[in-house]
Amino acid sequence: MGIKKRFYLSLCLGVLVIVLMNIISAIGIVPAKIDYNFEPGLEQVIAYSVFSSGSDKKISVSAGGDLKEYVTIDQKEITGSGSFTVTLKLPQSIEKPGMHTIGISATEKVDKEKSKGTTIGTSVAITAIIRIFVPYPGRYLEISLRTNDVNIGELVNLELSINSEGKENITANPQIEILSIDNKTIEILYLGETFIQSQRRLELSKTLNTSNYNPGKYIAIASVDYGKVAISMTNFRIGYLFINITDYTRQIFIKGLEKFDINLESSWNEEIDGAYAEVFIFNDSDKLIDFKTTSTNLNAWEEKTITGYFDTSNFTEGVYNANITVIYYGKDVGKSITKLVQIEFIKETDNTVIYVLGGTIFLVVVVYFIRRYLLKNAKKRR
Amino acid sequence: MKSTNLLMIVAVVAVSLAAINLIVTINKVGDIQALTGYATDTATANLTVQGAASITFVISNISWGSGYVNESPITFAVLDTVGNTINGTNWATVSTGLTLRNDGNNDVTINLSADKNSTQFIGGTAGNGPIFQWNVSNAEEGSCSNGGTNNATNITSFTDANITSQLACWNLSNDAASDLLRIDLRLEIPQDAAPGAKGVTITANATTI
Repeated sequence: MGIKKRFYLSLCLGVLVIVLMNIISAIGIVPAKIDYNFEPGLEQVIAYSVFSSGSDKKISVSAGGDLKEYVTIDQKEITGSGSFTVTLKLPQSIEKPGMHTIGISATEKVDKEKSKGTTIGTSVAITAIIRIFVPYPGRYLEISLRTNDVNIGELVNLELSINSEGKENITANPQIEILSIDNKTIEILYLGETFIQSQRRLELSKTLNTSNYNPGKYIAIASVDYGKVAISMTNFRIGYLFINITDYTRQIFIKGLEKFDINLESSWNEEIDGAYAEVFIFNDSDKLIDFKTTSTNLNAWEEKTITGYFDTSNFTEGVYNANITVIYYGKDVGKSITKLVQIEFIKETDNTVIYVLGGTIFLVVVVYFIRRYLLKNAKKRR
Repeated sequence: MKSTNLLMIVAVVAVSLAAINLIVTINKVGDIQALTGYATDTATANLTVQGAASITFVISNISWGSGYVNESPITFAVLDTVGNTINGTNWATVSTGLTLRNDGNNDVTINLSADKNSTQFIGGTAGNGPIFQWNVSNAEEGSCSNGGTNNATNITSFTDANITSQLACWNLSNDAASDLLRIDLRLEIPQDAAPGAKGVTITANATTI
């Protein structure tokens, strides 16, 4: 490679590096989040690393949040990338219970050098958080219930998370009530006597056998009575291989090839393959036309629209009966559903006469005003 | 004929020896575990993935260059980053907004602030006065959740940019396929704005969720 070529290549690379340095602006911090439960006089030393896109970028480090007076930072400024230490020294007591957040921010210092012309530049800042949880006085529970959708006969996993956020330990008997969608109790599941230590999280689980359940939507309510009652509610669905026809095109214009939509809703907790519909339209008992729609796959509980096209030329205005049959497959099992519906065929209003008449009136008015204008000008000249 | 028979006997012996050799070799290979003191054990490998918060302005600079407001009944020019330069001369047309990416492994909240307001940045009084606005949208589907409706930011139309921090995205995902925000800008420059270079810096502040 000649010296000239090498020079130009170096120049190009140099320019590219400068361009990239200009167009990228980045900042990061590790660790992003740390949680502590409050302890009187708790002391912690946390090492942070900061990285940025430029080795000469000045980054200022600061603390924010309602407990910021309890942290000290060993470096207030970093150039490019580097590390610093935060020392957390909590007091003997914090009055307000609940979650407190301290933000540790690394902020790129803005270069005040102006660009020519109207320019908008950017800078970036990142904030890592230290969360301090201060327990509530006495006993206090937060609970959260999670469930999953299943198909009939499968087990529903009921997972109860109990978070003791008070200063005192608790012994309680958690239970989960299963209700139908119209709020009728079906059964109650007991999770046994449970000891929950102050400021600790406990995960409990129970399974629900759905063999004797009907398909549909259900409500699960977890409750833990510890003097007060902590409650968490969630819904789950028990599915079966079924597609519901929720809607369809009810009115169609008579004007050649027209489209016919059918809305489908899956009640199955797995994918349904190749769902399509066959539509038969009748005049009294005689079949006038039949056509098939597009085919589609439906994910668990998904709603989708399938579409078919047919010629409407031979129809006259009126209401026709139609049979919509949806054919589908779930786990190699084929099923179908048929729905008898009514479709109204209407003629599209012919607006040609109105347009022609309107256009003629418009032209007459325009000609009238032009003529008037010309006559006025002619009079003025005389 | 005799020599043929002899050759046949030699061949049979050779093949037999080869077969015996093969059987012995296979047998020895099977015994290697015992011969080499083969032993089984289990080991565990532990590691901790640290949470990192990181953001990048992948497009960090917008410049319309130099220009002026046309003399016309309209007393201001409009510049934006969605391809409009209205009633201005020489300013470039810009069709790309600022683009911000979440590079960390935590979701973050994004707040925006500017180091100048519209008066400090642009100046002038003609028309509607100086206007400096921003609008935030998902550059990748599902990047931002605003805490209510999914897949939406917290600034969904052009809103006055401000020196005080403004919530732009309540939850910017760290998923590589949906971690990109676009920040579009719109300026109205009055005809009587003082000439000279005009610059402003927008700061994106990401806070770990």
